[in-house]
Amino acid sequence: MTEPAPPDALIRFENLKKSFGPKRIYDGLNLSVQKGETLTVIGGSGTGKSVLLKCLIGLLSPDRGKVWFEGQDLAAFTDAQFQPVRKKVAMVFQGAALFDSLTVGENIAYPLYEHFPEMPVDELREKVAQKLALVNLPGIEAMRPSDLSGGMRKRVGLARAIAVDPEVILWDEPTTGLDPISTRIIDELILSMKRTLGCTSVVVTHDMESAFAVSDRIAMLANKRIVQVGTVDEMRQSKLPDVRAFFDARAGATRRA
Amino acid sequence: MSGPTGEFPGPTGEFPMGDEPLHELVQQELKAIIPFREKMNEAFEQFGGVTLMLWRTLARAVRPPFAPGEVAYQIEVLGVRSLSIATLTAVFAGLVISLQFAFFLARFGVQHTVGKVVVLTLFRELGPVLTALTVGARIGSGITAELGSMKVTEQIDAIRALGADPIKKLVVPRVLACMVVMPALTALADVMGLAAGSAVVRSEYEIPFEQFYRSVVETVGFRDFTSGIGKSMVFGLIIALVGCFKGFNVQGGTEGVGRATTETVAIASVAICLSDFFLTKLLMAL
Repeated sequence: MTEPAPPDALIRFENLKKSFGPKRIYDGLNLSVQKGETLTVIGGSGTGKSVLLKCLIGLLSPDRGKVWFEGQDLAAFTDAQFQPVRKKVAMVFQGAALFDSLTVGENIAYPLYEHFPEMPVDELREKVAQKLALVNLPGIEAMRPSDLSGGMRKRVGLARAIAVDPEVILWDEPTTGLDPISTRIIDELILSMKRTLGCTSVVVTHDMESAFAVSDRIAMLANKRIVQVGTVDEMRQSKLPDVRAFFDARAGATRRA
Repeated sequence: MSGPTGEFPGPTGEFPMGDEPLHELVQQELKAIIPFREKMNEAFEQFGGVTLMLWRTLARAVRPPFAPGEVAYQIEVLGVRSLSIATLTAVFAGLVISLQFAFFLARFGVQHTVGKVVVLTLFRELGPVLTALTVGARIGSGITAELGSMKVTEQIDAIRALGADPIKKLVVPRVLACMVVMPALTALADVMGLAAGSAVVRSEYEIPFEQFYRSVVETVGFRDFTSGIGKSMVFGLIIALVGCFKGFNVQGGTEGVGRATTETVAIASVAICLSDFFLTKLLMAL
């Protein structure tokens, strides 16, 4: 029964089922992500887009189905088994989820300390500085998260996520609640992570502008499953009513504005 | 809506009960019972959740790496900053029970024995229980508010995602700190309460300090003191566990944090009173 994932897919969700109490979120969801690509999952609010990311990093587990990552099924993994996966897969949380009680520098050092407890302090400092430079916020190690703007918090959250040099970055609504300029900066960072670090990205968003800007492929989540996956152009020309409704609503919003 | 068939009790002034079939009445009654049943289920679920958290906390507390620095920090936050509230409560508790007992004993002309009664009441019951209730409300609600805010801002998820264990990082230090802090504050409360009691009976009933403390020393045994301290250690465990459990299980954003904080105070207080009875029985049997 342990059918391996196809070699070309880095991540594959297979026949995923998940409910929260009486509310069913996924009913046989299938999706695969290729190595090195940026895949965006779009869908309405409350359709459980973030749940997909949380299944991949072990914050939630699916009721049924498989979550393949590098040939391993993560669906039944325990927290301890997830430890090596969490070195390779990092998540940027919606509200950044920075630890308020720590400084920016300590926040970024946190995963390094957890995964590499023996790392010397000098190297730790150097890594922190290097990651902050990567998100264009050099030298703010001593600041407190409460002193940062929303966009800066997101970028520090990204610096913390990439501290352990992950292969996959999971982005939970990276641009929600940001002003247009910060949104552009984040979009640019998503692209540059792919360019400079070669990271695979899975982005969950309902910000269509952002999805068009960063995606290699877009997947549409509706009716408890992925109804279509394709490049930006393919999705634009989709005949499926769910996809059409989503894209037209956006076009309508732009016209009204 | 229904026309003249009389299916619905309209504004005709008829007494509606007679028309309703019996099974509908029964259903209404059942509907009144269901919330109670759900409440019971919820209570059992929460009890199970707290027990599970206790087990996980113990399993992680004995395994390295240890974080003495974090425990020390929590002792400061939870304990040192509770000194004034513990002292104030103990002083007034000592004052009032000394007055009450002296008043009562004076009727029989034996008010000079007041020290015996006061010290036993304080050491065995009032010291640990009052401290647990007042300091516990402060500490427990503080823990729930802090961890609950971390939960709604996904910081607890982030701890896991970054490869750490939230129980080890957040619960273990708080539980250990509470189990150190509560006995220490109780010992302080015992002393402060006794001092206040001796002062008030001296001024009101002219019982000299020396006589008061002689009757105290004659009466009190080491067991009286340690039984109270032992209880306070369990109360500390209850407060920290309930506070952490409620914080970890906050639902519904910031509003949920407020609700959980209130619930922590209520549940911890009731749990302290209930467990006090059973602990007292147990300690008497030992």
